[in-house]
Amino acid sequence: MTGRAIASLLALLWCSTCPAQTDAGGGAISPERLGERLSALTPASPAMYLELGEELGAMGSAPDDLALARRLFVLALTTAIDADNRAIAGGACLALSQMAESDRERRWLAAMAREIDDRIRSDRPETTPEGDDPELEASLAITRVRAGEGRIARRTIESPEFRRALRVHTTDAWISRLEDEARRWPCPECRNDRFVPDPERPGAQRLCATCAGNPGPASTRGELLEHLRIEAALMGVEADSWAAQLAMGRDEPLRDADPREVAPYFSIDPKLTCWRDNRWVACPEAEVVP
Amino acid sequence: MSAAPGNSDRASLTSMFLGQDAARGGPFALLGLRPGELTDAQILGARDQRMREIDAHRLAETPEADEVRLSLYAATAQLLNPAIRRQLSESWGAPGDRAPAPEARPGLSPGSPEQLLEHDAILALAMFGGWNQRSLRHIASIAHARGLSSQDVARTLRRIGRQRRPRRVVGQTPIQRRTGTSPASPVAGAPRPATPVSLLEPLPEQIDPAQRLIKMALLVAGVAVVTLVVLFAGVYAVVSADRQRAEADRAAMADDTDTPRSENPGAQRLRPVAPSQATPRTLPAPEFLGDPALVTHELESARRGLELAPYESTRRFARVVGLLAESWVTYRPDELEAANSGVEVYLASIGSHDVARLALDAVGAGAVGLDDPARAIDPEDVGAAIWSAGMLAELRRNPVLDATRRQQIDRLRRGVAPGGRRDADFASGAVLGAYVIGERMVSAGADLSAWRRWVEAVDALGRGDESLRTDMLSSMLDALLAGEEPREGRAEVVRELSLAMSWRRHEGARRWLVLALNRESASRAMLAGLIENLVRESAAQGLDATMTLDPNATMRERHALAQRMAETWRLGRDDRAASAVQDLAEIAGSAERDRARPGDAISSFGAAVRLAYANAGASLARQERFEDAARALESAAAYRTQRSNRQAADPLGGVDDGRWALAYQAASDSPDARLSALDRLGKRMNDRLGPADAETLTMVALRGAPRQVRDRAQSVAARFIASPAMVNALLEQADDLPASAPVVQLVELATGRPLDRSSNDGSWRLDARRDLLRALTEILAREGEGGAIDLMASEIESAYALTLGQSESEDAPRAEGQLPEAARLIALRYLREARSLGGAPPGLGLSPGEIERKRRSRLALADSSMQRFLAEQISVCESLALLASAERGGVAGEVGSILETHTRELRSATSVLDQITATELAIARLWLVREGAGP
Repeated sequence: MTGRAIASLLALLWCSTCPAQTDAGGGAISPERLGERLSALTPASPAMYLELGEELGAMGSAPDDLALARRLFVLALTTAIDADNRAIAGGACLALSQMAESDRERRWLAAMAREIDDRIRSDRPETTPEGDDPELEASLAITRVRAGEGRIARRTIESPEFRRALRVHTTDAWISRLEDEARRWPCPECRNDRFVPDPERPGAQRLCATCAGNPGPASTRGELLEHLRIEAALMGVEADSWAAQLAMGRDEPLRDADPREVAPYFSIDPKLTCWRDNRWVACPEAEVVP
Repeated sequence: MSAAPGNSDRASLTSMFLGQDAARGGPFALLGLRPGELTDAQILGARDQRMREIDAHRLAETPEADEVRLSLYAATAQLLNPAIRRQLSESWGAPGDRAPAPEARPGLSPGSPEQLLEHDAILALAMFGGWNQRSLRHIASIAHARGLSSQDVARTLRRIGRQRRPRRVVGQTPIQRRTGTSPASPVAGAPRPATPVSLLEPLPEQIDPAQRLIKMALLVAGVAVVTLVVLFAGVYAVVSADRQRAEADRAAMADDTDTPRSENPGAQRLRPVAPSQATPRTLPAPEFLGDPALVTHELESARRGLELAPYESTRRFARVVGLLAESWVTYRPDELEAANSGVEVYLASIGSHDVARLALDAVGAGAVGLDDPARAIDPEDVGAAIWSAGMLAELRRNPVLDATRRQQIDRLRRGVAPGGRRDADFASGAVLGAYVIGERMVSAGADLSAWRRWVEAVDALGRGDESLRTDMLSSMLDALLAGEEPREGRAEVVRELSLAMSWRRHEGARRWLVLALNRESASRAMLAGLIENLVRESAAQGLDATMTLDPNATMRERHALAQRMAETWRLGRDDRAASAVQDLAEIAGSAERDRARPGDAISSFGAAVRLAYANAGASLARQERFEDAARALESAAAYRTQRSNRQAADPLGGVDDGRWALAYQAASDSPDARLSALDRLGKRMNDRLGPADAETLTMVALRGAPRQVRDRAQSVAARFIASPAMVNALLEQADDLPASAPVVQLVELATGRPLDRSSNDGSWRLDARRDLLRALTEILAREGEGGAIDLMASEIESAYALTLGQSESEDAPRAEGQLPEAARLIALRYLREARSLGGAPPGLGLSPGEIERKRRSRLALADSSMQRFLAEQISVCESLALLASAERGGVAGEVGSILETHTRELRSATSVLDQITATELAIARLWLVREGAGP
């Protein structure tokens, strides 16, 4: 069983102890009911934030639901930390990690969950990618597009695994651009031979005017480095030089696995813990954990 | 053949080298002695003094100088014979000035065969110019004639050695020790040559002619006796010299070729021989021959013999080097330099590799086996090991040393200079050796006599450099004091070392004691004993009976006593340390202003480099390495960001791209034309190919036919392999690379990494692809704006290496990725120091365990070498925070505030580079607090 599976199982186990994950009947929560549930939230019960967040997260992928679920997990985390409830805090962190929008964010939150609650195990994959895995195929396909071998690359690019593998490391827009380039190549003039017959000198050849003897899309330094970054990431290649890391966009700040970092990271004010009059406000002192 | 100089010539030569008084006539005048009661030691001392005068003369290297030296040996030989001395004394001395009968040696009955042999041995050694085969054979033959065994010879020679060997006497100064005098015997071994020999000695015109005749007759008789002996020995030596030399050289050769070679054959030859095993060939050399003039002379003689009998000469060299290694601590610096340069000249004069190996083994003999922790430290080995360490270092820096000798030296140095610098001279090599051997002695529990030899070596190395001496002694004391339970015999060693420190003249010792008191790891019981000794012996001014330490004192009581001592001794801040702190404050202030200014990531990161150097300066100043600190601070102030200017518009572009590819395409029908096209490309001046040319060339190099064309293409491809387009072309082909050795080599050349092709499953192509991806990214990145970052990372690495105490010229590994490790070591050092001070005061909310836990958590998240460095760098910051709070009471608030600001800055940073700068700035702020100059 992989670490990730163990982590999920732990989260699930925790959730099975929740009094209710969804509203009665397990359907979507009505706006009125949601308002009631939100109004009932109090920092004295961090578990309530987590329960509601889980329910919203399980219901679907509507952006508003997900944003609210994320806020509830953050508040569950901060109020649980204040109450020194490590189980709730760890669970909230783990839930946040499963909603992460990037691999880095997911690893950061999962590491924090382990920091908070040492019963949560590592979610790192236990095996390294094998030679014939989709990530390697995706990396090779990108190189082929760059080399103008669009026809061969398309076999990989059109597979669902390709897009899935690439999405971890880049945007849909970039993937679409790559697909466009794959369709444009090989060179329509020389078919990647680099040379074409010279009409002015019978029997002689000249460089292909379309690809200038170099089939494949023309790239600026930045575009080429972005290709290489994604290829390297797919193959788990790490550059040693700082310049290369910088060029590959690996200069993101290192965040401490510190729960106090989470609320600022998601731009959520942790003091606004109560839902009153359809907005988040600071709770009256009586509700705050002493 | 030159004629022997006549008497008048000799007198004029003597006058030239030793002054007119010496040329007045007679052995006493020649040696600068007054006729009368003289001991052998005085005679030999006088001879040595004269030798030194000749050596100092501008014509010291001429045959004339050798002539005068010979006269001195002859005169010494005459005077060492009591009978001749008595007669000569009567001849040259004042009336009534009579030499007494020779004193008997303790333990020997006058006139016994042993005593006679001792005198004859001294005579022979003096006559034959020192310890050599001739004198040895002569002594052995006399002994044999008198029915004495070779053991008797060995005993006699050891007795002579003991009699002459300078012994350390309590109360002696180093110079007194060196010259063999003591406060109780103000008569030096040799009278000063400028002093008149004797006021009682008659002037030549005052001497009665008849008396002069009698004296002359007696003198002639005396000289005749000596001459006979010399002639006998000379004839004996001449007749047998060639035969024996040939035999000896053959034997030496046989030793070196027929028998299995040990790790260090020279060392075996130099091991002391037990009396029962002693033979004339392997006898321990008389120690009095370890005196500087004679050693230098012997080295030169050995060098002269190199051409004629190299093995014999090397044996002689090995013996002299053994003596030098044993006795160098008693030499003056100029004498040691002369002897060491004699060793270098000898080694430089060797023509044969085998002989050079043997000679070098002899030089390194003292160092052999010291890397074996099981080896016991013999007191006699200590000085020799340190000399070997110094001499090997000196030899190692010779730029024209061949590889075999370099490897041999490195092997020999293993035990005394692990990881030592390659540009170290004798002094620094010997200092490092002394540290290493001292540490071995601490761990091996060496006895007091070994430590005394170590202190003698430290005295010799620290002559004129009290700081160095104090550093060496205090380092060993730190090691000896570590641990609460005093080990047997350790207290005596601590006493010896602590009393050897300069408590009165140099404040380094006082500073050390104050620090040791504050260090929890220093044994209370041993510190208490050490302070008691200082008080009892009034060694350190200002310490009185109220300033002793209870063996059960708490750390608080120790801090209080340290504080009292610091006040008593007025241990204020050194000016240089204060200046370093001021520089740090200015650099930190300027870095803060730079960070606040808008600018790109690379410009802002320059502040991190300046701060890293400034922090290294603070650390070095704290260690009182002020010169290094000043250099680091200078680097900080002078640092300017260097931007890359190699950026080309087209990342893969080259000159006239495609033109060559087209020419090759046109020649594709004829192999000769293809070869010629490849040759034309190979001769191109510009080494950057564009993608069309690079991809064409790569295709030919991988799959071209016939083979001759492919081989040529591979060779041309290697020429252009630094072009990004070439690396890209290989990357495009990586999943289908032919499995041939030249292709693998081409990839290795492009990536700078070896490829493992041991598996047959083609997985090496995946590795090749990874390496090519990495290489192309790095080339393009370095050519771009970010190229400056690598230079900056290298500067930060240098600054961290300085903090760790490595010099910039050192051979410390500088591979990328070493920086996190350097930071880790610095953090561990601070944590160790903080622990020794009792850890952080309550209220800081930081403990070593907490720092380590956070470090692990950060490292788990770090996914680049920049982030790994940051994770370790933050640990440096936190460990320094702990140390500053533990060291200075009452700064926990300031430290806590710096850490809070740092945390805020880390959170708001937009890149890891910002975070690195913020952390370096926090380290600088903590240094200022630690030095009492905080915000």
